[in-house]
Amino acid sequence: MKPFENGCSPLTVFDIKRYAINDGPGIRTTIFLKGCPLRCVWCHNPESWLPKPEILFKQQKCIGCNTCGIHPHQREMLTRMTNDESRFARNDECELPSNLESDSYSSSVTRHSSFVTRHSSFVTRHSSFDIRHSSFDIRHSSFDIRHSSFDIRHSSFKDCPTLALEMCGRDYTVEELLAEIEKERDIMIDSGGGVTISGGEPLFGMTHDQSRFARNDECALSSDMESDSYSSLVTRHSSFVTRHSSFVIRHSSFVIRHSSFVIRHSSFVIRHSSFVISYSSS
Amino acid sequence: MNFTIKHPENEGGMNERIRRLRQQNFDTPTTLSIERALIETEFYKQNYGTMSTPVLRAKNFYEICKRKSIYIGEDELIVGERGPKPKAVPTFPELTCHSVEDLHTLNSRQLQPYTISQEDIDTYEREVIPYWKGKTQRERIFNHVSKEWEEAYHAGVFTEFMEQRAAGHTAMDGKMYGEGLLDVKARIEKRIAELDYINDPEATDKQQELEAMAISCDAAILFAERHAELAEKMAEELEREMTNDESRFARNDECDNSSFVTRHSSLEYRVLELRKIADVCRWVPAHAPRDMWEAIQMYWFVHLGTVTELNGWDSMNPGHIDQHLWPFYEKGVKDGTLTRDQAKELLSCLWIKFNNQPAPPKVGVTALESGTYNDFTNINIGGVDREGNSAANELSYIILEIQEELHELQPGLSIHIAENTPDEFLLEGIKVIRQGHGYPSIFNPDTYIKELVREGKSLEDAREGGCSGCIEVGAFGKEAYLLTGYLNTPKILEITLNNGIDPETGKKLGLETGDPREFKSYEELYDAWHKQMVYFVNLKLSVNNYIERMFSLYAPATFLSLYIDDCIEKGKDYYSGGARYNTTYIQCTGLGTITDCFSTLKKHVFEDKRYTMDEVLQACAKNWGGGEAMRLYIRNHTPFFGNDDPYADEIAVRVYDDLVKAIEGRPNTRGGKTQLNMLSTTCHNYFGSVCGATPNGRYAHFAISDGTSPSHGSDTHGPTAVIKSLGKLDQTKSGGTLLNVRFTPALLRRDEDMKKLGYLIRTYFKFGGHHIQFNIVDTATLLDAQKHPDQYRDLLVRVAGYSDYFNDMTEQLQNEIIARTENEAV
Repeated sequence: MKPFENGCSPLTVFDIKRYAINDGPGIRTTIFLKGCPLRCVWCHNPESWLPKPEILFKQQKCIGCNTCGIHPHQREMLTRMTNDESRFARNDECELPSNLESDSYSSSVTRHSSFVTRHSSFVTRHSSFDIRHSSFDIRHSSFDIRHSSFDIRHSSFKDCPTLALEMCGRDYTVEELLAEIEKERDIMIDSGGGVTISGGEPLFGMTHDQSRFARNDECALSSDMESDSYSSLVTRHSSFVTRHSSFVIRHSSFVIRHSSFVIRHSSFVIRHSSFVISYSSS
Repeated sequence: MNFTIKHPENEGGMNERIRRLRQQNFDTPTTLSIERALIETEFYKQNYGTMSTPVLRAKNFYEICKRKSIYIGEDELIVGERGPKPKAVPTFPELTCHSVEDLHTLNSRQLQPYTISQEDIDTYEREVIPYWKGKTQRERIFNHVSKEWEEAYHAGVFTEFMEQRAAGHTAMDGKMYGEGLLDVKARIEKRIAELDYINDPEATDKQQELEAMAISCDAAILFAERHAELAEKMAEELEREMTNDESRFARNDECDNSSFVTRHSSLEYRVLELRKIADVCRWVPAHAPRDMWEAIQMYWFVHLGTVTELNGWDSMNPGHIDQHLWPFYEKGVKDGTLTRDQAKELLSCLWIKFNNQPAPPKVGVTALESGTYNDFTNINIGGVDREGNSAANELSYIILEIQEELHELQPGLSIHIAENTPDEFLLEGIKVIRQGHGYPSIFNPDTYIKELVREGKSLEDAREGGCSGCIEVGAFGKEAYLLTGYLNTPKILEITLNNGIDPETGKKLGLETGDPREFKSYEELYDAWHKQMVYFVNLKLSVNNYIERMFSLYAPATFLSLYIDDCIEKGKDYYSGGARYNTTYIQCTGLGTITDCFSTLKKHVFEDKRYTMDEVLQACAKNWGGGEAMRLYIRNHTPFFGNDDPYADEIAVRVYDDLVKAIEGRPNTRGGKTQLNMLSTTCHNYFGSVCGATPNGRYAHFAISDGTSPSHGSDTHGPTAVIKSLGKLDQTKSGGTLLNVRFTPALLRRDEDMKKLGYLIRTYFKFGGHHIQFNIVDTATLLDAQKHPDQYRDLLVRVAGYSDYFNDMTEQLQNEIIARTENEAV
């Protein structure tokens, strides 16, 4: 990780929402950081899971114009689980009860939320870390497929007329983010609003330096954070979290829901976050 | 800020009287009345050519006031109708004479019919139509215009407001509440006595005009007197009825004692009301009103006089009514003669009157471009007084309550939020906005005062100004500002892209500015459009001035002139430069669409060279047939207006500034100047329907953008980005801009959300915004949004703990949200 002028590495952002009126007091700008250690089935933003920019393929938007030049087969691979395999997994073919072993680390999960909900046994079966770990390899291989086609697509995804292929996530330097925030300064100040850092899990993979940004030392606007506190940073920087008093209270229900999960998997987190660091530096 | 209901005692809303009047108003069909046309035709047949035009018009007005049917409804407190009964619309054959076919169409059409009997159609054909043949204002205008003008007009490059109706957009200041018509008449007579026939070459003209104004005073007083007589007659009849009742009761015919008492006391009460109505109508408009009731009735007579004399667009507006009526309210409450509820009831009666006046039906192109069948009375409340202090008072809050309870089509309501207007007032207004009726709209006096001062008004007169109908502003009671028609800026680009030829009609309408395929740079393209735009503006202006003269010569407004300073002092008519300020407006539409078109061509053709000009033009010619990928690429990869993106916003600012330069400061015939205005009303639909596919990915014949709003679905960065883009235009150079924002009701559910909307409005106004209005969308819109997602990319809806763009959701989630909204509606 290269330090930047202000001593802070860039943050991967997958969305910036202006006129956010439900993320804290006043009118806010919410910055959604990419990367989350959790794989909740009810997640609204599964595209926020991977801590790196990635190309999303939204089949519903694809008009098959082939501007991207990606072979239909490859496109299919991008949505492997959305089509044939998910049909199979749902057992449309054989009409036998089916369960799925998965760490839910796939974009197809959310696109087919109905599919996931049908598999109620799905979540409970993954309580043991071993099973998860075994599926880790499977996930990793599909991950490779995605990234191998990345090179082909790299030049062409930008041409997608419909944004069916779209780069999700962009690395922002702190200066760039501050410039985005600056656009809304007037209305933030008038309304007593500010910036909300959300995710993904904003503390996931966040370094101490970056947390300075989240504390908003730079732009002197009120800042909040939406977090499930599922991060080693929380414990390491307890003083940081306490400064954001609204943060814990607002998300208390969420934290309670996840509390058992957090404790059980605390060792996993540390491992996982180190994986991310090694991955992103490679 | 607090959100308690200000006056819990009024929570129940309308009282029984208002409920009945409102219901009656809804149940009454719109009919066409030939009464006015018959009186006028007969008068013209006997008198045309025997006297000067102003005197002829005034005597014609007098004749109508003397002879038209008088109506007083059962529950009414405020009396008087334009036609013989509520919603009976008179015609104005001196301006436009409807043909027999027009009348049949109006009678039988599905949408917005105007019922008229066959007998009346026959009478109209026999008595009215033959006399006016060749003599109407409309024919005078169309016989004069050049072929170029006519072709551009029929192709939809611009419209012409004044070809079949008089100018409207008239709002009153407070002078009528301090001066009766007898006082006005005395002033006129004094002015006549002062005329210098030897040294003032215009003295004779002035004398004729002033004499006509004096006749108009008499006419309105007579009109009121006839209402007094009818009220008295009705009271006497009721008394007779009561006497009969009593004698029957005495004879013991009537057994039910309690029903008799109820009936008797209500009749007794109505008799008292009718006597009061008679008293009021004998006092106003001849004298200055003494209480709230008289003040409201005073306004209503002035309103009726104006819309009986001529049929101005946006008819007529009381101006800052909360300020004008405040002294009467304050005094009445203080000395115990008026309660809050009584004031509210009287105002509600006036509100129902406003909704009783559908517009005289339009014909031709104007009927196509104007989807409205009501004249707008946009009630202004709040704002500032002549000294610049915040003017919101108790009556402003009462009016908000009335608007919410009655929620009729008319009057419209606007709240005026200056920097010094209390937050409490803004929030009460937002509460009404939340109901989803589309009003009140919100205006920024701090900006429009600057606009008016920039146009040359004194600061005090500017502060007294406001909005009359849509978003156009003027100095109330002191200005004759004529809106003359809309300019279709995207259509001008279409013509430019076809080297002067309109592909829809195949006619050469514009200049030959060159084949755009040969253009080497974006600047060349822009220059070509600019030349065409200036050409069409000039074409329109040349006819504007002619039409102004026709009104001055054939249709002076001698009654309206009584109430517009300084017509009496100058001895000149409203249409002849009598007003203190005289402005002519051209309303430009489609700023969002044309900006997006320029942005598309600049980026993809001239800079990135992704497409050639030829490819884009061919795609437009084929209405994107076979070019869907290209169209979607443009829709998704172009910086569009309304996203706080400097690339597009700079284009918008340039287009806007050039429109201002082309239009502003051109002299009109009344000693005033032409100005730019940025409203579209419903014309953006008509303008879209005559315009083929445009480079911004818009399909042929689809609506262009409205007012200064971003084009459909182009603003994807939320309302704060929209207001920032709009804030880059120097809105003080216009006579009004218009911004529509769509929200779902859920975005305003919590009190906290209303506060946040308040901040959004305040911030926009700090950026110099003129006007903003919110559309709280319903299910029908959401369903349409599902069918046409491209048009609704800016539709923000609340999902759960967050809000999202409707278009960005899966179909399931959309369906779920639609289901939710429907549940809310039940």
